[in-house]
Amino acid sequence: MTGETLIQVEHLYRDYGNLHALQDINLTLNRGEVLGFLGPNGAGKSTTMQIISGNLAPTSGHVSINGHDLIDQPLQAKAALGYLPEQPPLYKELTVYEYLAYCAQLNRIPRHKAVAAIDRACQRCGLVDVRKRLIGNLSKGYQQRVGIAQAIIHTPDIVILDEPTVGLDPIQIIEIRALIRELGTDHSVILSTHILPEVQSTCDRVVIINQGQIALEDSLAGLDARLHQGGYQVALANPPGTSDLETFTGISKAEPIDDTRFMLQCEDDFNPAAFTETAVQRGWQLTELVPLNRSLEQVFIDITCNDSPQAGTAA
Amino acid sequence: MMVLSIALREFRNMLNSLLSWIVLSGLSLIIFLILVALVKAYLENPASSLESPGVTSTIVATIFYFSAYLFILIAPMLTMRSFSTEFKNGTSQLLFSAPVSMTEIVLGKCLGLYLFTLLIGILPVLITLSLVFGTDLDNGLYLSSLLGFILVTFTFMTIGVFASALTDHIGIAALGGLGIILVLFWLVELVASLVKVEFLANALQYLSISGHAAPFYNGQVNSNDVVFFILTITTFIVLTIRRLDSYRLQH
Repeated sequence: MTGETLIQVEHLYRDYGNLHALQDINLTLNRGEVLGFLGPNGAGKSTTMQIISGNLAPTSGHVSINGHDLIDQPLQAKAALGYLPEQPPLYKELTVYEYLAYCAQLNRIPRHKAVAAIDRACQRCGLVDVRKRLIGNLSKGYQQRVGIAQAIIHTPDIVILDEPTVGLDPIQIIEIRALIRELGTDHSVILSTHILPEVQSTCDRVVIINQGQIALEDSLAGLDARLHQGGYQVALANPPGTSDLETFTGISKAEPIDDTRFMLQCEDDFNPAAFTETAVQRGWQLTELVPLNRSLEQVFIDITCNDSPQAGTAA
Repeated sequence: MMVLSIALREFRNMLNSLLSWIVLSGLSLIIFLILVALVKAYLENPASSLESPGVTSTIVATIFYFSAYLFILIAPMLTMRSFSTEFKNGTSQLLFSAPVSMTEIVLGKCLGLYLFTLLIGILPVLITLSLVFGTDLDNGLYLSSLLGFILVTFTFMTIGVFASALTDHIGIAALGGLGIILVLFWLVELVASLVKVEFLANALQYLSISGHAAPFYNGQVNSNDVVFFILTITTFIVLTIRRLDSYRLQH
């Protein structure tokens, strides 16, 4: 049943003394959705996740999980939740199997179903071969997987992952991302990260948070659209002046790069096909027309930098 | 059920820890030496008449008395990691985000540590029972001394758990536990003897752990004393739960 709201966060504030870590955070998470939670270091990502997982009390505001208020009905709310903190909460002196068995008990999985649950979690996280080994002896990547296995062992409706790919090697990152994508099919996932391609490869919807405030909330498609508001790089063997170029519909600015190449900053109504035709008609001798996509990084920097004066006055 | 799972985890944790075994071996050595010294002293000056104290009172009660008071040092060492390391390693987040209440967490932790305390308690029990081969023991006095040992050690362990929930630094947790135990065990009695106001002196006197423990080693089980220990243990359990609730507010 998609569309059902699983997490509802309303007007969340959190102060650390005089520091306003979170200001008026509103969030929703729907069933079957992977929500990317982006922000620079210290933006309040982890704080928000700690509050949603019940590890931190908000200064004010309201979190309801699966219809249960986190403060009034904590047990029901937490039963629907699997949480992987920034630092996986592992008992290093236990074996993977012992640890997951304990997690199964903590999450009130009945004894007769526990073995099946542990097996399933091990399989999904690729832990079958290491289940008898001590967690402390595993590599960082495997420890991270044990952390994820712990979060999904009771097949919760919601899985919260706080920077799950930090410190992993590229192959492990790809595997973990695939796992997150797979989790997204039958769980709802909140994923916090400051690695932008991770969002592009895994998420349906993106929330960007900066200085404790939500700076942008958009679907990945909407974010993609923002990425294409870049411009074009053209090479003309017989170029006109920059002012001639700027008269063309949709070109706001033309900057020469060298004798033959220009950087065009474009509006939405720029039509590359019409531009090519014009170039041919006027004999500009078009040799290149390369669309410049703004990277997600640029969008991110634009958003986080543009908002900072406003956030600064609020803080 | 949940309390039991957490208790067993904590108990196994203690069994996995080197410190526990060092404490156990140290304690068995100390108790054995005390036994040898007491038996030697008793043999040199045995009970001359029916009124003079017998073997159970001079040796068994003394050993339980000493063992319990060794827990002034042992209890903070055994309990210092119970919450501190969970905070430090972030594993507390596993407990806090699981569908488990703070009460269940604290009761589970305490129960696990009580189980381990009973395991340690087997040492003085076995060592004193070895006297059975040479003499008869006073069963009533034996059991009341054992009860005194259990109540005192459980109280110290609970205080240690509370101290451990105050900080993520095990050293501070151990020192804090030791401090609270010393204040309740000994300092209140000292202050009570100095206070001139009778009402206040009595109140302070009532708080003293050593004052409530002494009758058990004379074979007296007073409901007053039993209730005192149960109340003290309950108080520190409740304080620990409150502390964990507020932990989410401040860190």
